[in-house]
Amino acid sequence: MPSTLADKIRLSRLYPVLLLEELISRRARNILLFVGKLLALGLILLLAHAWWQGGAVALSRWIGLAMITLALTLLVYLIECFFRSYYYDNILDNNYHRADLFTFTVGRILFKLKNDDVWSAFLTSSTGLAVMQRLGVSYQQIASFLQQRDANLQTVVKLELGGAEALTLRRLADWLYQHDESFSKWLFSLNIKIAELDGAVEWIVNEIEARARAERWWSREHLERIPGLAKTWSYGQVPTLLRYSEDLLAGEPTATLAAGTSARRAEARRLATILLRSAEANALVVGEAGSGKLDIVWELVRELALGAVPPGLEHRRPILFHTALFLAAFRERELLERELFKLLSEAISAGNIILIIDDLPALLAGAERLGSNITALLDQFLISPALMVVALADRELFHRELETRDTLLQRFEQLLVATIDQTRLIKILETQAVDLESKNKSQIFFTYQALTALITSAERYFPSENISDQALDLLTEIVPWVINHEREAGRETRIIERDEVLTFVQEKTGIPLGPIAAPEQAKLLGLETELKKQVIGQETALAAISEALRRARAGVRNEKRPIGSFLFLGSTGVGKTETAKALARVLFGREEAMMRLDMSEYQSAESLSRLIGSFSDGKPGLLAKLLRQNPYGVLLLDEFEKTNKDVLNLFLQILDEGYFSDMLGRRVNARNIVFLATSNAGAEIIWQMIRAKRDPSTMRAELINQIVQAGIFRPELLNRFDEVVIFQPLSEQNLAQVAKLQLEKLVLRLREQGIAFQVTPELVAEVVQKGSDPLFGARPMARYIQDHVEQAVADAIISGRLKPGASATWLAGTLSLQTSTNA
Amino acid sequence: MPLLALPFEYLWWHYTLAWRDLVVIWGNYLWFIYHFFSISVLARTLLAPWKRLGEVYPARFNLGATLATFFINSLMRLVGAVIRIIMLVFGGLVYLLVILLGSVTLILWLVLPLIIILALVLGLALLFK
Repeated sequence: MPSTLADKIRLSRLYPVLLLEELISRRARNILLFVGKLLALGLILLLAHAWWQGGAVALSRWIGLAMITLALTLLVYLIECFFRSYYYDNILDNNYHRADLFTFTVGRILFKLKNDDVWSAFLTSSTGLAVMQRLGVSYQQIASFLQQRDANLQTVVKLELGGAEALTLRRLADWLYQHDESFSKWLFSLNIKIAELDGAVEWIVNEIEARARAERWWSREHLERIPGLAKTWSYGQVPTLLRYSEDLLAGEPTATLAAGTSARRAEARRLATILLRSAEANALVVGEAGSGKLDIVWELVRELALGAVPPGLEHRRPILFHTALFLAAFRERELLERELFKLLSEAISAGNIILIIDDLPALLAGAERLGSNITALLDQFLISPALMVVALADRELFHRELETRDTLLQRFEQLLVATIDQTRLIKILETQAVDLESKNKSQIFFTYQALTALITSAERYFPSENISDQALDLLTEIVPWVINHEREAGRETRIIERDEVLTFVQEKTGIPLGPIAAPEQAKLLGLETELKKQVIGQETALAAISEALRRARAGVRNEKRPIGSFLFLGSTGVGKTETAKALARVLFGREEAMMRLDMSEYQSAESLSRLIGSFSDGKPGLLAKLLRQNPYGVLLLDEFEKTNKDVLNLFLQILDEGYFSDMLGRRVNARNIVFLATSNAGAEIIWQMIRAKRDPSTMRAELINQIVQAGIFRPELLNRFDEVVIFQPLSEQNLAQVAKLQLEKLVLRLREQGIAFQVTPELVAEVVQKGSDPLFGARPMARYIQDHVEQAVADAIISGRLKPGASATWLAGTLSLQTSTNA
Repeated sequence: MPLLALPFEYLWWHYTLAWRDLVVIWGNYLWFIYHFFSISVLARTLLAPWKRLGEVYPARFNLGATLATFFINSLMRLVGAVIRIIMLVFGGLVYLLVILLGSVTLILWLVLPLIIILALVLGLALLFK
């Protein structure tokens, strides 16, 4: 019985090949083969030369040399064959024999084992290095880790081979993570999680397999991809159809569609099954706009090109009919109908056409505009067994145009486009990333974490039904962005890591995502101070908001809910709206990031359909439109308590799940929004409490209690808010500060006109005294300033008494002009 | 396993697994040629009209028109058959060639180790003659 790990490796079936690999590496063999071929060629030329010159002795020597070269080259060649035979058998065909304890890739690592230290064998192997590189770990980091490790090798746990299944690279990585504390700690210090390690291992294994697959040119899989001759000789031509269409097998894309990871294989197979039905073999592919409906068709086309389809679909010719092109060609109903009839008849008589209509609802609607109902015309072709039709339809248009046409729908089997799951998506991104790397001549290098960050960013910040498309777009867009940044910085290659992706997304969306940089750190920590500069007298409220937002930015927040949601309670004119504006400025850098809905306008029964849209008249809803156009920002819901129950229920869902569905069932994302609902509810109670000089800390609970009892808000809605913030009535001192702030705005405006206006304490006192109102807070002060101060200034400007360069101030209730010394 | 066992391991592979691999690859190529030249499709549709070209017989019987149509359709079938036969013959030849090359390779493979040794010995002898 083999006892040690080394013994087990030595007795393995793969040992000879691993030994050979150790003696002459694959690289060395390739070089030897190349040199051998070159030498053989050179010798043949020399031989010819010697024969031409004559001389039997010289000739025989050359022949001898040529024979030796030939023998040695053949030898290396056979060794290469020996190696590859085992290699492909194990790597590609996954032929593990019962006695196999490990896969080839693992064998290569274990072969280098010293002192049973599997981890250092893993890290020094080319595969291990590749895995670590994909995790963004540098050689230096690995070297310094191994150095530290050597000091306490006694802690190494021995690897036991001989489980029920062969040890794969992934299992080996998991084993290392679980059994080697120093390893898991090290990865932890590098911020690498076990799932990421597994993901990177999977990526490398896929890459190894893809490379091996590409090398094995003699495989059936490879030969299948070469298109055959004479396939269409027995089928007819479709010249009319081709006027408006494209032969998907003939164009360039088919040739470049690489086999390998395919996201849409299952759906393409389902499509094939529908097309194989004996009658009415028509499919209707329904999905969101841009959800990859055509991808399913392309997947089928790829399988057709490879001949990897059931016999019933062999030699079928997929033709993509461009509806827009067709409709643009006709102004008259009769001509359109005649041409449509002609091209469909052609397609039937050709006998091998799969007609793909890129937009069936548009075709029907377009024909209808010319007064033609082509449903009946289409119907007779759709029942023909000689024609297969694949019609594509956006979900929205499907509901509008097709759902009511029962007879037409009966001719089709529906196929709904599903969203792609994460595992598949990451595989697609990996293939694409490798492709982009080679296209950019290794100027860039993607880490595994960058790809997962791309997917989460696509999901979170670019809400649409088709996450895969968004993620792929981000992947393609980040490359020139990174290259440009590097060029500006004067660097050549760049490793794209998680932080680069987040910074890129941050630039694109304006949402701060990346690592918290120093200026932002200061901004976050000083959020209260920043807000206090703009909102007066609401310290407790601002502190509560700031704390909630810091939680969100630190990544502690629930990502399936909005960034933040607050209910501001308090009487008017105490700074609720001002807080919303200030938040938009501080968080998103601009006041325009604040959107506003006056909820008192949504009291009637049809309010809900005004917000989310109405199916009957096809009008989109205001809230849906607003959030689609501005997916990131602050949404202020003024006078929240005044809206009706249905709308409150809608917000119950939005605050809880971070999205809602519009009238067509499309999801509208609200997860990147800060919701601020304001309400005057309880203003009277707050007043009474303040007058009674109650402790503010006990005020909140009591206030909420009273609001619930009064039936203004239901407790479940109040619980959905991150924080119910109470705005206290402004004190005289606060009011003076607000008055000063408002007057300073006037000073700034006048300064732009070259007029210096001086704010005096008397003016502030006057504004507070005459302008403020205990019921309306600071709001009437603005009106007072406008009616008295601004009016007086305007009169003076118009009458010519106040000119640019002049100064003015406010004394004893009137405007006092001072002639400038410069004037 | 000592280093010396390596040549024996190799020889075992050369006469078992490698031979099996070669037969599989040969099969792959025969399969490929058969499909590349669409041999079964061409044989099945040997007499079908060329690219489905042809005339439709008149709805009402008219001897002249029917004969003309028959003539044209037959001509299309003839054209199709001729082109298909040319392709079939060519494909068949290539198929035979692959059979031949495959068998030669398989036989050569059996004696390849011997050839290498022989070439080495002969080469050395000639070099130092």
